[in-house]
Amino acid sequence: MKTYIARRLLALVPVALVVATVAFVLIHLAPGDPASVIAGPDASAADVQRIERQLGLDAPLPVQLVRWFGRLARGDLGESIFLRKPVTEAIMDRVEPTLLLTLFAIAISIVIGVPAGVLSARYHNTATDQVLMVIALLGVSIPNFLLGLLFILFFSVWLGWFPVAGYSPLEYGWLKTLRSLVLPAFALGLVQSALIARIARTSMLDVLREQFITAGRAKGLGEPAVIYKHALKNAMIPTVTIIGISFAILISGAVVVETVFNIPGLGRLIISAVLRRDYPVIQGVVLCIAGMYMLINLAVDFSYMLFDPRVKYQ
Amino acid sequence: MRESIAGRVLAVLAALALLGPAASPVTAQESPKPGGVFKAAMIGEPPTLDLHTTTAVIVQHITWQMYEGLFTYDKNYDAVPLLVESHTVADKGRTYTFKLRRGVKFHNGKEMTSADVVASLKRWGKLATPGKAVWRIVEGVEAKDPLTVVMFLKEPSAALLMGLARPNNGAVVYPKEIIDAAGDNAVKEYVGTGPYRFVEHRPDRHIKLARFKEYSARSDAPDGFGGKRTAYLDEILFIPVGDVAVRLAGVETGEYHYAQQIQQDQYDRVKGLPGLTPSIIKPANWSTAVLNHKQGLMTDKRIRQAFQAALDMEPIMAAGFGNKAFYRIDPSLMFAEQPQWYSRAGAALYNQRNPAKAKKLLAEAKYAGQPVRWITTKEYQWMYKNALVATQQLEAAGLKVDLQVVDWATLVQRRNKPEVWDVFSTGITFNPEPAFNTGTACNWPGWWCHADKEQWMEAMAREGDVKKRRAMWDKVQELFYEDVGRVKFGDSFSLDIIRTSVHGWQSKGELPLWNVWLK
Amino acid sequence: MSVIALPQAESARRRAGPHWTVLLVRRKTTLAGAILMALMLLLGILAPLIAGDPAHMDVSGRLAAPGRAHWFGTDDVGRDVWSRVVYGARLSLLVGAAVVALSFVVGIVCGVVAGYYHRLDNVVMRVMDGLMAFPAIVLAIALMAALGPSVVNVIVAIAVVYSPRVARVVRGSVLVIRETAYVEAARALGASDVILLARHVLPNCMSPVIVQGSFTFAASVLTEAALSFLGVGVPPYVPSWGVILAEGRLYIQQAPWLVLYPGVAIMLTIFGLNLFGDGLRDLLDPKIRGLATERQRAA
Repeated sequence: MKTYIARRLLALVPVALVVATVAFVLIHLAPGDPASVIAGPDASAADVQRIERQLGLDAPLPVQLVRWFGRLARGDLGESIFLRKPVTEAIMDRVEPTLLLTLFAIAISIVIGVPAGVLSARYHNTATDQVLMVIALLGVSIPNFLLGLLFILFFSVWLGWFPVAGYSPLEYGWLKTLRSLVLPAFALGLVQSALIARIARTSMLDVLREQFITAGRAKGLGEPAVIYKHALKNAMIPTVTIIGISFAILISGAVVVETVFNIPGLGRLIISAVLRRDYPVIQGVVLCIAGMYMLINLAVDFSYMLFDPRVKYQ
Repeated sequence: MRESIAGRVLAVLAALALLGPAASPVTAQESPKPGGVFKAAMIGEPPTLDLHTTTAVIVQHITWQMYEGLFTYDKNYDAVPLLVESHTVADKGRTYTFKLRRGVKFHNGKEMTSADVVASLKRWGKLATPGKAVWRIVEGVEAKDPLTVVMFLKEPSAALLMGLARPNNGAVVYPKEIIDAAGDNAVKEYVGTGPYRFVEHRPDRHIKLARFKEYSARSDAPDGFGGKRTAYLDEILFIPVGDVAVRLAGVETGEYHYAQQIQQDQYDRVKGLPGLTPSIIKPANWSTAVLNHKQGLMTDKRIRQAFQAALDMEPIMAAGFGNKAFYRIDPSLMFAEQPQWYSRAGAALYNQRNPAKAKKLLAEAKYAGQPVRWITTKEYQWMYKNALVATQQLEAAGLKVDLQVVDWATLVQRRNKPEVWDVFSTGITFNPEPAFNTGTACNWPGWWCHADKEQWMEAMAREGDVKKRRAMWDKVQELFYEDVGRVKFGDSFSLDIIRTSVHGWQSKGELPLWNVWLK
Repeated sequence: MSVIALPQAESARRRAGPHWTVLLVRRKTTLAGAILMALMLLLGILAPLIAGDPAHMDVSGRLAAPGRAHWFGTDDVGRDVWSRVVYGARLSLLVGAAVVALSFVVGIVCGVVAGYYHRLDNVVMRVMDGLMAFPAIVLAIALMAALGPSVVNVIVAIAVVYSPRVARVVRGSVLVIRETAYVEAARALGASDVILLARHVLPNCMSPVIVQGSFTFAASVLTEAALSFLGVGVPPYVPSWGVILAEGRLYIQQAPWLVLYPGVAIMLTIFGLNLFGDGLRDLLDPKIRGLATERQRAA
């Protein structure tokens, strides 16, 4: 088991390096010299020079790259040009809504998706199965921002059940926070639940066809025991994988949905940074999100140890 | 049996519903109560909070609650004293002596003296667009004693007090130490003498102001923006909500007390909704395309004239403002609401709808198809739509247009650099004094500087006789059209929305939040 | 010309049952998907013939409800929504096809290089993994920030995002095929690397790649719409479904048709692509069951 953990952690390192390099390269992709792109056409020559020095853009590329890695290792993501404060601070300001929204959405997608998928597998090839799967496919086909817009129209404007936009920070009470996140979380979560349902169903079907299930049935185990004790546990591995991938999708979905609902999270931060050419923030947010995604994947990998005993003995 | 019980319950509920409103007493004139957090949904983030440095209206909206100047406007838009106790004019209108009010406190506890006023005025004269215009005739300004400021002018001015009273890019007073610390950059601390004080700015979240408990209010009755200002609200939150749909929806559901710049299309629907009151700002501004006279294609007069000739203002304005009650096709640079300044000079060149003439002019100018770089923004929806429709008309007349859509803060910065744009979109806000009309200013982006025009503007600033001033203004407007200083699309009125729980509201484009209370 | 007949092809022919079009039609859902796709394709291709000018503004007729003159109504500046939706289909088509083509080229090259040349495998795959460590839209947004708003840049950005997935699929296949006997034999007979790759390796990778392609198409339609909706995709005067949605949402109460029609168009297109992709997967790779493809679609 320890080797498994160690190997997984080690495998992260090159990926992390590539991620950091991609983030570094972003500034240099824009046509023209990066400092004047960042400073904007409104800046004077002195401003451009100041930014060059501030971001270390006057050094040769390899040196810049090394310095970049060094700063990242120290946790220094630079300073936002527009907000005039450290990027890490700007991110910490915004991480709460995005995280809560993503967690809420994952909860919804699991609570709806897994039972739907399992049910579909249980009643395989019946009308229930077909209907559920078509609905699921439809769900996967609808963009989450469109769903969000429709939710606003129905539930906020026409019915008035939920606030139309905005986010109530935790400091004002978690109940209000939850209420402000209901619509966006459902817009995100429902689409994702469709995907999870399809995966859960397929993996359940696969497992149900396995030998040991037939053996179990032959032994006389009741259907519920077959499904819930044996099949489900084994079907959980790919399902947990997809939940991990869902996290990444949900974070990216959060970026779009935050704009629809005017939630001041990481998504809005990166969009306004893009519009203002605030590159340090763009790099910082992109790194942060990629980092979260890598950690989630790691967690998913480790969770295999719970579900698949074979992993422990690798 | 069950049905009759249900029926009885329904009947009781119906009775209560009918009795309800009648049961609560109709209160006559409500007296203002302090308290509450006022949430204002604004079009976006302000580019800065230093009022001396920008004409962007959103900065004035926010900072006007915390900064004050020497003068302000009363309800007729005449200049009345604010931080000044009294003033005298001597030496044939060339020396102004201002006696400051005693005991006016800054938010940081310091008492205002003439040193602060002098430093602030000098800074305003150096950095602000109207300030620079005024400073052309200023010889010097000095502090005679801690409560007296003297201004020496090179020539008498009819517009000085109006200039000092102007809210937008206004001559507000900061503490001297803060000005010294800022040097040539924006101030780092926001301290003023106003009824609300700055608490915090969390970009993209809110700007928070709180009641300034030691506010030194005037004693005279409120009149327009003058007189006694009382801070009833505990706090004001300016929330940037770039999305007009979210702003509108938010004020409908009660999340915001005020939402600005709502599409005029929504007026018919909103005026019937309970809990909401539409606040029509009339006049608000005139929509315009500012042409670059310093560099680029628009330095050629024929191309400017072609631009002007090709346009049909009705669809441009209709696209931007929708509801006919909210716009006006009118050539006058000062609004019809001020008959003493309303002028039709040069009107023949306004709204020509003549693409053939435009094509001819372009041929004369040997226009070779270079794209006209037009910067606009979607943050003010109407600016984008005006530009879009105008672009269609211009392209039909043979001009190629490269429409660049950016956020407002970027546009405001970018327009200062003449090499990157040929045209940009903006609105010229209502200003009661033509001498400071940014639409005709030479030192404002666009840099429309014409020897004759400068001469008349300066003469007008000096001249005291209203009829003579009016004649000069007519000449300026005529030149505006003949030389194509800018291109005016039309007058527009804004739609803001407030909730009925907001009292003491004045429907003004300047957004005064003092003397406003929440029920 | 290959000296040795590929055993795979042989057995396939022996196993061959009904023709693939028959199999396609048999599965009703796949057929439905194919029809939807064909419909959208036709709309896009025939756009200049069946629709008016999507940019023409008739301001006096703004916000008109759907009727005879304007099938889908008009928007807030008087543009015909039907034309905009049709041209939006054209743009989505263009973007989708271009992204698929570009990601194929990049992905296949990288995947083949990684799969075939062991020494380069690690490097190339780490880079691909690194790129995949970013959620798709986040990376696309960051790339658009650097490149600036334009249709070409949107294509490039989305292609960069999805190439690694293609590369991974190709590499997987290449790894398998590389070890087969006939490839060894062909190499022993002196066939050069290039010929081996082109004639033997590549054709056998194509099935999973094609399946991946259909998902990439669907994903790029979605991603472009999302980017444009957010304002960081195509410039606002280009008729894209995302742009139409973004502009239409301000009028969602007075003119719901502005959101409904492009919304339905997006849904139908992606729905069709997904249905078709599912069917294609079953057809081409009966061995790869639901799991891997679901993961492909998700990732």
